[in-house]
Amino acid sequence: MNNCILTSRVRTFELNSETKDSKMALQNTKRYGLLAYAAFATFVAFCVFCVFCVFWFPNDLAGNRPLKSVSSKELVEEIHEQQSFVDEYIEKEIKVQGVLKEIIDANNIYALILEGGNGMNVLCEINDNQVKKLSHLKPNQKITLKGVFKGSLHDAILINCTLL
Amino acid sequence: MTNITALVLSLLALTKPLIVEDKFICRQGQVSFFSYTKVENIKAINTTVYSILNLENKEIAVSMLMKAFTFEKSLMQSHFNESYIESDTYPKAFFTGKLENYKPSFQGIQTVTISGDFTLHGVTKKVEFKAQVNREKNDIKITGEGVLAVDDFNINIPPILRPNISKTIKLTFNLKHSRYEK
Repeated sequence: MNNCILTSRVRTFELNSETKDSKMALQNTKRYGLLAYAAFATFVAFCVFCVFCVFWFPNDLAGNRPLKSVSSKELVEEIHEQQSFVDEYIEKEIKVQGVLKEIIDANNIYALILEGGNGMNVLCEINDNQVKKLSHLKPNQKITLKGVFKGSLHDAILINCTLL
Repeated sequence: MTNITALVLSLLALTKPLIVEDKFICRQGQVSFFSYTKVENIKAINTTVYSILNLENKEIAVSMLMKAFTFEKSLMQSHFNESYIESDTYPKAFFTGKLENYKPSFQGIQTVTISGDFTLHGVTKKVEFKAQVNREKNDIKITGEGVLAVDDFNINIPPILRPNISKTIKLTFNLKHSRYEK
């Protein structure tokens, strides 16, 4: 009889200790799970930060830097006189002021021609989101815009232009 | 009387821009190229192509800035400018040619062959394009297409990227000319 009671107590103790172990294992699993989540979240945050650094900071820096500002006549003269100007500002955004000569379009792509000199003008291809503003412009009007300088053919060429 | 006529004519010349009858100009021409492969399709467009058409001798001269080509992906554009075309060294492409079988007096659409020299990446090759010329009053629109072989123009493509770029590039153009005013 005593043996039976002892055996049952031992079993109860074993069961209790098993329950405690399983509870601890469960807690550990939860703890590791949380750690894994935290590590994953940190990794995602790091990736977002990297993308932000690569794509945002250069633009932000470019945005803070004052743009090269020239008149359309000066731009044409600079192109004629020094290749170094083209080398320095090609593919860069510049600000140009000038007198509007005409508005041209080809298949709904609009461009403004600004008066230059020596037979060369400045052709500014306008961004799609600027087209509505064109109805307010008139020839001989003085305007300012910014766009990406691409070099020169018959005219100096700027694309992605925005009216200022 | 003769003096008065001369005076009126010279005044007209001063007030109106001088129009050159036989010359037409296009400042916003469009040239696109396409490369189709199983790996990827590449398309680029340039909408600031410059062209002069002389109806007197049926000659046409076209020039374009390589850096004015825009791609769907910016990485493609930088590979094109830096590695393949080397736009800093060869910033422009040129075409000078003649409109064969073209009748300048005809109003409407004519199909012609344009043959001439195409200079790209510092290499000049004889090429031919099939084109349609549509003359309407003061405008002459030339549209057409042709095929260029990449190897003809000494364009080096790394072996790893060979499958991505077609050996022949399809070129299309749309040049709307209006009367040239001096």
